[in-house]
Amino acid sequence: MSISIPPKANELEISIFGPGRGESVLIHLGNDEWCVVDSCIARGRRQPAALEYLEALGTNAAGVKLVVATHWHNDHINGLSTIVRQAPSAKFCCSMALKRDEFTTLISSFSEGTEERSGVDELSSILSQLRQTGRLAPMWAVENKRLLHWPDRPRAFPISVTTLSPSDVSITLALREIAGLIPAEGKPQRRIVNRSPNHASVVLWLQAGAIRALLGADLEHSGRVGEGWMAIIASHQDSTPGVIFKVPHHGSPNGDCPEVWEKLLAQNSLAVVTPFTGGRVRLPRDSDLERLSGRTTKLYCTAAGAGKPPSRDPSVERSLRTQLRDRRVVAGQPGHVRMRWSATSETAEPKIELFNGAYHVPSVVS
Amino acid sequence: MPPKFLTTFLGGQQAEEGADTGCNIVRTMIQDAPPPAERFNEGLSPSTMPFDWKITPNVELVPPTPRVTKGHGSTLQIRQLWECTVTELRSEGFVATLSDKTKLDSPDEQGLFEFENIEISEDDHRLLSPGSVFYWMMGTERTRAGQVKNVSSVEFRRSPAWTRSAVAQASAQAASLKEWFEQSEHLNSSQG
Repeated sequence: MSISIPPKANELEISIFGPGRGESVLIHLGNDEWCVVDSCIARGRRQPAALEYLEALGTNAAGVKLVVATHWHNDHINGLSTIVRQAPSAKFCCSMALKRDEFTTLISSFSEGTEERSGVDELSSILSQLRQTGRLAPMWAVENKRLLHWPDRPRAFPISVTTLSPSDVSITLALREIAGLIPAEGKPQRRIVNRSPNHASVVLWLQAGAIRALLGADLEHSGRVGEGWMAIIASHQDSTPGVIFKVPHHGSPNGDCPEVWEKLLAQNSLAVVTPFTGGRVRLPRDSDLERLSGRTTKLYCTAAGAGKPPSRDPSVERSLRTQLRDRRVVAGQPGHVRMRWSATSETAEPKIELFNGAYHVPSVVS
Repeated sequence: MPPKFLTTFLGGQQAEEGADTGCNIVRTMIQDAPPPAERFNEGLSPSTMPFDWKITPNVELVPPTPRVTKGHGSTLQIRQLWECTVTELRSEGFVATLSDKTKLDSPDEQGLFEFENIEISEDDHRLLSPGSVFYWMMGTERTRAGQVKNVSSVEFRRSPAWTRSAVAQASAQAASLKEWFEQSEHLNSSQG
């Protein structure tokens, strides 16, 4: 097992990286052409995990044809502007909510280089690059919008990428939250803290030959009609079930919608969850893994956690112990789950490889 | 020609050609001193007086020597500095993300600061809200008396408020962005 063996031209690959804060998905579309969904950077590194992996395969970002930002939170788009810059032929897609006046004003307030660290500055940087280099404005993700559709000839297999969200209701909810963040005269300049629900997150549906994959981003489940996962279930158009599921929102209960497993996915489909250690609780919790592994025996997690804090001067450590409670590292090394299929073969069983601490979650199904 | 002040001091007499600057400075300082009346009584004019004679005891020509004290004053050696962003307020304290400014490749950390364990000045308390930034420093202070102690301090960043012009500029940029979106939208769809 070597991480540096590139996929064959007729192989579909889905690689999922997760360092403990954020995630990134890299999809081989065939013929050394790639799609990047979100971005994360390993601790102590400068390059996004997806670009480092492409370099390890002996290729580069020039083959990236599509870049998707599922939402604007920093843990999902950290380093995405670097990918956009190094992939000059890539189209960029983000949520329709970001096209609205509320968000464009927010982006314009925090221009490139402000070190705002919320994701707004990263998105601002992406838009500046696209505009300054004469590239197209983003494609705006909404329900059932096809971003890419390539037939099988002269390619080895047909492939398409479709956005399943956000719904109109979800966009409205997202804009309500964004409106509260827009700077107003006299208000103090503060960093934006991402604590709001991810109503406008972009969920993707991938069709590659006979294989279907559902990439759940951070979309949450409110249980209300027209919102989040309920809207997707109501409007989904492909009758073929998915065999791979990128579990939404780091496996948290508020991203869990049982109907998704019943209506959009094949029985015992392959599922991958990425951890998140920067919130109120570490995700996924043991109870989350238990719930998920009750639905599939093929559950994988990209990393066990973000690792231990660095050791410091003893006097500093003593002060930390007395003044800081519940101390934890929020971003570690990205674990990596790699799945490859021969998209032209009859079997839908992928080859699964685990790198950098990614692991299989034991099933609770007897 | 000598400077005007020198000419005045010399009572209208021409100063010597090539008089060096240092001499001029000395003479300038002497100008401020009251003329010693007893010497004038001896019939000497200022121009014929010996040079060192003109220095009166109440004129200081050199800066005062610094007072010699034990030690070198207080010093602070910073061992650790974080830039922290408040992410959540709770009744018992606040949660913040810590970005290490001492060792830049250290990972970000997160922790709960409890009010009872951390000292925040009253003035800084009003700045405490999600999104506010503060600096947390730990170090060793050596006092002038030679005492060594560990210190820790929290200082909140005073950010300026959004100004009317900044808000107006953001609105203008947003309008320009929207225009670009509209212009490229039909091109985007035509390229499929």
